Amino acid sequence: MEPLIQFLTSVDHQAPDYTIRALGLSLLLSFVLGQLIAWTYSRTHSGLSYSRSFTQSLVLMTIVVSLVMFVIGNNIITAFGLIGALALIRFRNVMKDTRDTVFVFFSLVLGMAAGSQRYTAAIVGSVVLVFIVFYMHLTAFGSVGRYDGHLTCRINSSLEEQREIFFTVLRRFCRSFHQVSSRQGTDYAEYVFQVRLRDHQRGREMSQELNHVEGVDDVILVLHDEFAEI
Amino acid sequence: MDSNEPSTQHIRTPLPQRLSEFRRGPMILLIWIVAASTVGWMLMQRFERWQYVGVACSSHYEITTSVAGTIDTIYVKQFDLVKAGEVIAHLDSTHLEARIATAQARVDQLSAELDAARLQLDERSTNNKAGLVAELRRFQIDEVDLLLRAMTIKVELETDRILLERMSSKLARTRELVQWEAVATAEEEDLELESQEIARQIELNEQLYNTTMEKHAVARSRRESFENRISTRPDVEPQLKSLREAVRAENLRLQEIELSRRNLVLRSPIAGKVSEMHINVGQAILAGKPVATITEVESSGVICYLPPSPQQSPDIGARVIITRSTDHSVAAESIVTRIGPAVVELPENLWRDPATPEYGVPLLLSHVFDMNLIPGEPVNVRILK
Repeated sequence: MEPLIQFLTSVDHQAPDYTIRALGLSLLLSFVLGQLIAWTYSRTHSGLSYSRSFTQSLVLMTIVVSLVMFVIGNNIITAFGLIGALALIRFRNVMKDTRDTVFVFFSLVLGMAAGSQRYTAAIVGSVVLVFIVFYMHLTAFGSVGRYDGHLTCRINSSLEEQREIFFTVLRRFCRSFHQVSSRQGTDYAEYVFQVRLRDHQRGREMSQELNHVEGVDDVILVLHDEFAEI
Repeated sequence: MDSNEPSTQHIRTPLPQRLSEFRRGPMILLIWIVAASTVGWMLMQRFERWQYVGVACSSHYEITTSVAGTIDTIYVKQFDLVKAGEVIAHLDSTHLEARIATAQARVDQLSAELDAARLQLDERSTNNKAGLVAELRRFQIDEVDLLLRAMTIKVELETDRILLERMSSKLARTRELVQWEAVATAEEEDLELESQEIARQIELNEQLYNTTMEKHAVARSRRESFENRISTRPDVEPQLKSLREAVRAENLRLQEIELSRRNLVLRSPIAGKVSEMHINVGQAILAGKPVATITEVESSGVICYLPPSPQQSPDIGARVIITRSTDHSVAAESIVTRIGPAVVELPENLWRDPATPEYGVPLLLSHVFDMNLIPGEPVNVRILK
């Protein structure tokens, strides 16, 4: 414990360091910790208001704020200038999306960095942030959907053997599936499954094969776009 | 196979889908792990980095004048290399020459008074027929006469020395002009001959002065031995007494002039570089004001600064590693020779933020021979356990 405490106190400095190395460390650390926060948020979120955009904003905001502090440094004038500019933007424009706010903030900070002649911070900060934005876009960071779509079907309740065949087919075509709901009738039951296909192109084939299983009717597979989450 | 039996053929996930899934899942984690590892490594680097900052120090000497005056000649420029004892500047000697002229006039006056006194005393002794008293007065007069002669030579010496210094500065300027081919070499040679002539004259006068002073000492001892021989010592003639005192006072003034003359020449006490010139030619300067700052070319040690409450306080003799802040590949070992008594403000060039002053406990480290540190150069220091 003692070495850890010594390490943690030693890496901190009372006076900030404004080298490019320190800037890189700050931005990278912000990214790492921001992503941790975003994961924690997405894993522990409950309710219907989950937004991938908001989750991504959590990461981007940490990086932008880190860049802000680097640009401001100990300069109180720059700090007040930022407050004024932010207030102006905030009251003039109503941002519906948190991610939009982050980008506005980012633009402000870049302008401040360039204007206060912290050219290194402006260039490095914008390169890093642009890279991270594209990284998040390509990886669809913040998506919580594990399934490709949902499958509804009606299965004759009495045909247990056919149920087994149904599930065999399902296991063949799907990497994983999860029953979302079931509606039990006298002779049949309606099921809704969330499915994750092994091959997205063979969804129709799966539907047809499931329809061919005796006792299984009205098989409908609905696949949603991977970027449909907002 | 029965057409009602479902196929059991394993379905492989196509590569594009695999890549897409990898992109949306493990790749995020992988990138995060790489970023976290990089952060950890950078923090470890920061932890292990050179612990303390320091600066190579050297001695600065501020050359000041002990007398007020006007700058007549400056022989060096900023960043010139100078040797120990090299002349940096000359103060104007005009006022001193005036004082010498005054001293000369006073000596002449005293000589005239002495001659008058001698005549008077000779007449009195002839009339008096008091042989012992007359003899004593003669001894006294001889003593004062020799002292006056020595003072006359001294006045001449001081005049010549001032002239020689002026000639030296003129010669130095002429040599520079000859190098630039602005004047003929013959002018330099003429000045050299003149300087040599004055120097020779000074040498002769010094010998003459020493001889005269020896004679004066002999005359004094003769007088004293005569005084000891006679049973009743007659009172010294008031005229002679006042003359003797006047001569003594004038002798002291001449010594003052000699001292002032020496103070007109400003020399560098050490070998080094002229880091700053505080004066210009023709500028009037008060006593005690700085003329130039000489800095040693090589650093004489390193001052390292510990944080105000350091985790480890080294002892005198503790070994340290010093490296340049711009090039960590060059390192050298040193030892702690002294520890400062209080927390002081670090030099501004060591502050991490120009707007935020920093403080530390200074440690003096011994000179590092192999690094050729420039005075004022920032260094990093790690204390060896």
